[in-house]
Amino acid sequence: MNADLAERVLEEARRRADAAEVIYEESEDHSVEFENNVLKGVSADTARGVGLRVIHRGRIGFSSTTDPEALGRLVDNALASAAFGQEARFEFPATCRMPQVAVYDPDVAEFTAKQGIAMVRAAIDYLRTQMPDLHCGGGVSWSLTRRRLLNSRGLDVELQTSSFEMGIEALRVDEDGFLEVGEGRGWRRPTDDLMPQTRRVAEKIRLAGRTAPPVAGQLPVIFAPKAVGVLLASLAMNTNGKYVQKGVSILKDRRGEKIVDERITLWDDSLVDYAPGSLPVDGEGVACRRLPVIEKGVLCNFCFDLQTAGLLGCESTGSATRSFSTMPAPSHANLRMEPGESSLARMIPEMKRGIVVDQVLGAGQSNVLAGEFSLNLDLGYLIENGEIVGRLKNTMISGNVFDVLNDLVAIGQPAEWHGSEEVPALWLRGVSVSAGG
Amino acid sequence: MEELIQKALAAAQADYIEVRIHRARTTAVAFVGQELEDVGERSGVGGCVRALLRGGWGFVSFNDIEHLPRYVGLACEAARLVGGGTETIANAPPARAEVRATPAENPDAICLMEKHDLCARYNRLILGASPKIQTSVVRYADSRGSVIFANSEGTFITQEVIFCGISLLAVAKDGTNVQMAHHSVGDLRGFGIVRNLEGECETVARRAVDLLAAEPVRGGRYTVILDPKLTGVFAHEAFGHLSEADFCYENDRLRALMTFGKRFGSELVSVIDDPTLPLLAGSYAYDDEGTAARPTVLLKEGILCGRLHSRVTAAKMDEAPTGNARALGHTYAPIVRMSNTYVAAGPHSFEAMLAETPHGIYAVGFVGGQTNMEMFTFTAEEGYLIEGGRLGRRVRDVTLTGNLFETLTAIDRVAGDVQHVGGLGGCGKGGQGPLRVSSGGPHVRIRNVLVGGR
Repeated sequence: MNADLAERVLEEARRRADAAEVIYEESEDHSVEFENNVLKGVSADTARGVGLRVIHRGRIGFSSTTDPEALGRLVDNALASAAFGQEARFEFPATCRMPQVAVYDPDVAEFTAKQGIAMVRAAIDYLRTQMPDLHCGGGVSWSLTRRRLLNSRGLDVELQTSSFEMGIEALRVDEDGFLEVGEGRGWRRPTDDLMPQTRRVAEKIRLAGRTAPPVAGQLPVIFAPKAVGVLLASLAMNTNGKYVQKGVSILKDRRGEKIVDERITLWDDSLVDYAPGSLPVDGEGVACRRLPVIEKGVLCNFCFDLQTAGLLGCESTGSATRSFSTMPAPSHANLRMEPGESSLARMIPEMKRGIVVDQVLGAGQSNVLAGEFSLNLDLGYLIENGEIVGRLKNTMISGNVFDVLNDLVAIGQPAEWHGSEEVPALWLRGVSVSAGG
Repeated sequence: MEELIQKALAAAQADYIEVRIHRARTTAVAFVGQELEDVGERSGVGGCVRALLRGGWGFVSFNDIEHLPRYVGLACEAARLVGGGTETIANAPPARAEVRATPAENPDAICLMEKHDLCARYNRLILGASPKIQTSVVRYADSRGSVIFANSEGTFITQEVIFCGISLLAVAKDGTNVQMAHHSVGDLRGFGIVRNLEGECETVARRAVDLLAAEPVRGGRYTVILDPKLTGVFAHEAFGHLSEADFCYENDRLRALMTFGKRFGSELVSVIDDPTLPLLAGSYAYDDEGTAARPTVLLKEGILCGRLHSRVTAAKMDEAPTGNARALGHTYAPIVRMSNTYVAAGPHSFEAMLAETPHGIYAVGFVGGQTNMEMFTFTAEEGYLIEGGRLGRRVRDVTLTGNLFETLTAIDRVAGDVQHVGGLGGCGKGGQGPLRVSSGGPHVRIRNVLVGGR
């Protein structure tokens, strides 16, 4: 199997179907992994596969394979699927004007397992020198992907991407129980420095050394950037064109309306050089872009792929996400919330009494579409008299994302990248807190 | 194929080496609302090599099987890089076996049209159940495949696996109030289990609509009765994961915590993991290290008495492998996993425990859950207040949280109505999910559980 095979598949498919699109992908992933302070393994994964989407008699069909022996059935399977498939509300694009954005760094191809091993080992040594009881794990993974997308209207796009992820985590076990803190970063370029994340882990474990007395009631809560993603999940889901088109988004009819505090501006930005979610062209050959989702509290845009947009009579936003083995579906690229004037360091003394949330358990378990959250503080601190006095345990916070984002005290700066989201700290005026025994 | 594998193994420069080859065809049908989102067949093949050399593991996966000898070399090279480690593998007798799948009705024999039409009918039933039903998700999946496992000790096992299941989701909406209800079946029994689910379609639709009128539960401490599904989730999430040997095998404190003979729960509570139960979602004959499956009693009358092992963790702890090394697919090395995990039947009945509860919550079904080994949070799909020994008002957003050890001790009633729940979902661990498993148990009652809410 190779990229030329995509042409052969397209050739056969266009003979038998009204229109066709072939996606071929090959990837190479490497990783080194530490567990319990020692190197556990070095691994490599190569993969290749081909997906075929057809439009035949007005309907969409799809099939994929990684098995060269099954290639002969690929067109048959796609056509069989098109017998039932959705009515197509789009045409494959014939051309694509790709914007400039860097998504490939050749240094990733040069990165070696030895470098990865050295940087994680240095991080673990640092943590264990300070706190010998810690059980540390971590790893580095890096990958290169090549994608070719062709369709029967003449589009032929090749795309090469790289990615690089690293993480460090530490587990502390004592009479009081467990504490696991992890920090990491994903980017499309490599680094050999895991120390910023490692120092943060050490700092958090120190802060959690004391246990704070339980609190309950309505309290102000600061979501540290790492925890803000839990709140963003409701915004992301409700502004995803798929949920809008299905009619389940609670924001589906609210474009142009103020939905959250006017200090909140949220971008879906595919054009940040080397950011994890960045791409110049989406999975259907539509150019990617930078799109405001919420501007000064007002809902602006949903993200769409071709079919979802077609069903609603609007345009694709270049948000089709897929692999060779899946049909496209819309999703955001990088979600970026604009930072505010305050900062975590200023919020804590100003807040006097309240909670800082850093890691939570139970994200996604509540009704995310409705905006509801009910979270156990995996790592959260009590603030008394403007200072962190210790870690809160056995504590739950609950509320509704849309309520709390309409009752903001302040937004922090800078915004930090966590996965494909860039988010600042948020100080919420009042969140319901319940405490266990 | 056997010749290619044996030759490659024989040429390897390693202390131990194993090869797995996965081949599968899958069918998927998915309706979301009115639209058919997915219908069709996919196929895949892939392999992996895991090599142990001087105490270090190397792992390589690929899907150009014809180049197996090259990947055997790469895996040995990766292992050499790790080198100087302390990894070993416990002894296990070599095995040769060919295991056939035994579904009552093979989904391979059912045409795509029949699978499509069945889903279309269920989807119409859900969507048409009430004007308040906003959307639906009906998802069918089957997988017909085989896994070959071979190692340098002479083991060569071919296992056929045929899995089939369906999941039904109803979403009801009233203004900004959106509620969902869900039902899923999925295991190794064959296509029959996805037939005749018309009643379940109506039930999920009604439940979603009824939840619209339910009030959020008030946060606080309650006596809680879990239904069999939630009991199973609790057994799996909160206790089962602690019983996986890789949780504690390299941590002295955790090892001390998990000492056999220690009391963990009330004497009413026994927890068992058993891949040999026939045709459940988590059943198999051999694990992904070629070890024969067997039942393991984890908790016997509240006393810790067993844990789950791979050959790797068994060697570390000087215990016997239990046949719980499982890999999600060819791109993953096997790690310690559960199979069919359940709380064993107890002496009580649901009716009696309800009657004996003056004030509490009956928590039913499962939306999601998470643990950090010590604390857990589980969200029930729906809940009912219990007042004076009877089921009362329906409540929603019932999220249970607490300390695992305290909660296991606080179980004071266990019924006899064990159910094993499989489904299209599964277990996630170490990036490997969803892995087919079942979890089960009877109704149980727990004292003094923290329920989050406003």
